[in-house]
Amino acid sequence: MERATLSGLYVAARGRGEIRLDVDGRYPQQAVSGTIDAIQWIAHLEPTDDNHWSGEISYTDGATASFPYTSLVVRATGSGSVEVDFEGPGNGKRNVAYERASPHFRTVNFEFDFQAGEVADTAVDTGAHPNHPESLPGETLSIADIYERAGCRVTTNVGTPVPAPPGTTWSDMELHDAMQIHWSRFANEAQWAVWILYASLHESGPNLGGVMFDDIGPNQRQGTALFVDSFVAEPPAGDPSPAAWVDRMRFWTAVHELGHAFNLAHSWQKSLGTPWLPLANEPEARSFMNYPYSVEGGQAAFFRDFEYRFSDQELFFVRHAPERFVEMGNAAWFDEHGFEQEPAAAEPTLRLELRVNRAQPRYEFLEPVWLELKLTNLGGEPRTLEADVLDADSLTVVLRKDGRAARRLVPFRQKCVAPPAAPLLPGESLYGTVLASAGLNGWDVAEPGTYVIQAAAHVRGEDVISAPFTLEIAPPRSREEESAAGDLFTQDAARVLLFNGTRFLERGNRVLEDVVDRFSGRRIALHARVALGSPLTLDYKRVVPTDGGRGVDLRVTPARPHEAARVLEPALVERAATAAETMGHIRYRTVAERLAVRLADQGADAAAARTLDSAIGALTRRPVKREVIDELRATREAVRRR
Amino acid sequence: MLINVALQDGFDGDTVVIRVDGDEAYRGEEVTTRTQLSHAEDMQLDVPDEPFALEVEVPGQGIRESLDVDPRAQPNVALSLFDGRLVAGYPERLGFG
Repeated sequence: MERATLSGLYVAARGRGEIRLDVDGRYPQQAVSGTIDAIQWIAHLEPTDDNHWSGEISYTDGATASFPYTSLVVRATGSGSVEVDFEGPGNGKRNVAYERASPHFRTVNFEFDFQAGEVADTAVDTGAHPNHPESLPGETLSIADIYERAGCRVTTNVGTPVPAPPGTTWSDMELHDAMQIHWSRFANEAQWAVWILYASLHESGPNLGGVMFDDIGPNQRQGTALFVDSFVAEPPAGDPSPAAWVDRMRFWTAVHELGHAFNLAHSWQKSLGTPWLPLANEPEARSFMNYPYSVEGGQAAFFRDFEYRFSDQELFFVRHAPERFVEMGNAAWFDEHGFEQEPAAAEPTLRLELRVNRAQPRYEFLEPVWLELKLTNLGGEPRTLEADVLDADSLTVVLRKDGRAARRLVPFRQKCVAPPAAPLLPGESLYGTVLASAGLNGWDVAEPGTYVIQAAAHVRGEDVISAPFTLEIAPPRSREEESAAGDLFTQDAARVLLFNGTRFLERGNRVLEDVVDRFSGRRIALHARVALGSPLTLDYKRVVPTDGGRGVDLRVTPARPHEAARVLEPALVERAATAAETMGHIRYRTVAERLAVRLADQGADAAAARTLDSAIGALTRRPVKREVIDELRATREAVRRR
Repeated sequence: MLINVALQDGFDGDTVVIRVDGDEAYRGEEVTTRTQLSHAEDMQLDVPDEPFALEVEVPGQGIRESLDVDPRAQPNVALSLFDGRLVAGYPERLGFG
């Protein structure tokens, strides 16, 4: 009886990670990869006993500071379970149990549409052409079979004809338009799905056999085309079986273009661009990603040894690379690095986390993105940190929208002070916030789409790097919102939002007033209200020139506490829970407490009390540390006693 | 006679000049590889019926190299730039995908 394979996808209990075990079955790569605490890791394995393997962890992606493991042991325990012991220097050890979820590593959907009059032939008879490896089994293979053997569970959609008059040739833009119209699963987002169109010819002529045309926009690698009447339909003169040659060449091309959708480069390009690992070129590989005509001896030599497969390093990429490198619509074409991995401390004692206080990191259009940072001392000794280590201008924050180059956040405020230092005791954490939406180089996290953000804190010569944090900005709900973006996404408006208001940047204030009027139910209105109401809680000082610029005068505009309360309360009192979510707990608590104290200072005691009570109520119902609530209660009591 | 020449990998907004026995036969501006096709430009060049010197110059990358080409044996020439060097291939036909 044939032994059941162990390879496949395994998941840990309570969603605490997964592994892809790759030790048997078709083309085993003797590797295991997985995700644990948002860190992706890979290890090559050696068998040590029956159903036992060990290996060094050779690749990690993410906040390696919180992943101190360097090797592992894998034990298949029978009945679909696997245990992994992660081991690191010192006493670092962790055991995780996984249950088998699938014999495949990925799941992907293919939709084969065809130009009217053409046929989407998605299978080939491997024995039909006499030139093939002697050992090659004669069988009918489908495109889905090829990707199943690469480790993917493949689902397919029934193809539909794409109307086009005879003689039509296609430009890339026309193909892209056709994909948007005819692909039943089209979406502007990353998804494990590809569209392939069987078309006649590309407009560039018969030398183009197929193309992964989708290399524009934020969600690339979702669309491919095969040109059935191109050179792939021109068998070499004297070929013994020209019809079978054409069938095989079309099949090869379709699989090849789909390979590009998985972010696979040509066999001779492996070392070019930004490979995810140092890769060797394979110019003679008998792989779907090589050109048959380009190998030594030409296409006849290629097919003489071609076993209808990808090379090992291609299989390794499809099965084990971080998902965002492979998934269609995620990493841009040919860009296999999300971020370059920077050297981390050998035995990390600090961990930096980026987070938001909402169930899903999805933001409304126009909603400012405030991120929270948490820096934790994982070691056994106190660490001395500068007090501003989590201030925006002390951090390196890299922002990247899908399909675009990464940009560094350039914060508006640049301090020039020597900050005090203080110890961070073992187990303690330091918290901070950063406005990711905008900086001196513009609104980089504002347009609809998916963003990956990563931060690095610089602690006395050590870079502590967070795991990449992915968030999404939703599309505008209306043309009105879309047009408002032009006014909001300006430097003035960003400064007013960041610095909690001004009476100086009048243009920025007008934009925010307009936002409050037009989009009162949207989250941007809460931020706008805080920015507009905050300056009214203070006697606001302005330095104005006098005597034609020869002197200056300090003018004070008195606080208007009751007007301030009318502006602020719809945000901080009536929608306190939403305010806590959209601002984040840290910023909301800071803003509410500060403004309440100022209101009380100006005699608006009732408004101050309502603001604090709302903050206490909203934060008590959320996962907030008890001492934060206690501190707010103490402030509330101090206000009451005045 | 005519030969087929393809500019393949490694071009990035480059000016490319190709000379046949010293005479300029092609000049391209902003030549850029589309990596999923390994293709930037392709052309047919009218060349002598006997071995000739095919000179390729990419000033932006400091490349100027000359190849000896026999058009009867090498009717297809694929040119790429790798690590600052010109790499030539002579496939039995040119096709991209």
